[in-house]
Amino acid sequence: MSKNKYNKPCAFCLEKSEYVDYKNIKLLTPYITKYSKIVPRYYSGSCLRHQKMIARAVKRARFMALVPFVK
Amino acid sequence: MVPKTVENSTPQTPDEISRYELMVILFPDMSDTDTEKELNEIRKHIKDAGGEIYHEDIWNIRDLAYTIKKQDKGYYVIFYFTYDPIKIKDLEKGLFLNQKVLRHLVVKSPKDYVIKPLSELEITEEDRKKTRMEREEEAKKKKYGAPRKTVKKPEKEVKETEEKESKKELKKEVKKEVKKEIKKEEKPAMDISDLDSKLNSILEDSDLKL
Repeated sequence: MSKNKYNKPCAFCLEKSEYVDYKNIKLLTPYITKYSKIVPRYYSGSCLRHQKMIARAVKRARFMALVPFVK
Repeated sequence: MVPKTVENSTPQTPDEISRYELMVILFPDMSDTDTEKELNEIRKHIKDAGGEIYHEDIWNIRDLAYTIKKQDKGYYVIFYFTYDPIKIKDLEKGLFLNQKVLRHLVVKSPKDYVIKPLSELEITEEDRKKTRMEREEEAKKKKYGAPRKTVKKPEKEVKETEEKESKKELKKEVKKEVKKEIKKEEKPAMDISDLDSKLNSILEDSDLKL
């Protein structure tokens, strides 16, 4: 069975990034739905390690009003 | 707050001094001199505590994603600095008490962090157009790239039965081409007939009007 719905590889694993920046809105947009919720792992295809980083970055961006909590 | 013995027991080496980044949102209504005053206070505080600001980003007034203290806009500033990890709470205390600071966030930045300007981080209108195109391209790539497992399987089979596969492929290609040709031929033919009928109707109407 495939790991995720669309059989995508983790985008951050391909880049071998160790940190997801909360200021980088361009990077975070694909991981936020149109209701500004965090996209679950089975849609985005990100691995658990990077999903946790993404979630942390999105929450930080929300706190600093870069990204809305609710749309 | 923190006992001094801890500070003495851990002598600082350049590796242990941790890098931080501080994002501050100030009130947008203040004058330039007032904002500079506030920023200078923060700079002083960092320098007095033995920290060093090695980079500073000013994003100027930006729209907030939601209202904070009845403000729709905020003056964003980011400091990148080194600081003593034990004293970092004191810096936050001052920021919490400062009434001209809407929000602040202190984050430990990783060692190999590359500072990027705002233009690379933010989404512009050009990017939105580009991203749409990129999304389409990506979607196309995924259609071909996603079923990797299914693509690999026929390759193995080809080795066993190369001739059959090649014949099948040829047939498929031929069929596809034939279908495409048929479609291409059909569409303009239909259009011409429609156009003729339309033209006739228009001509008749024009006659009536004239």
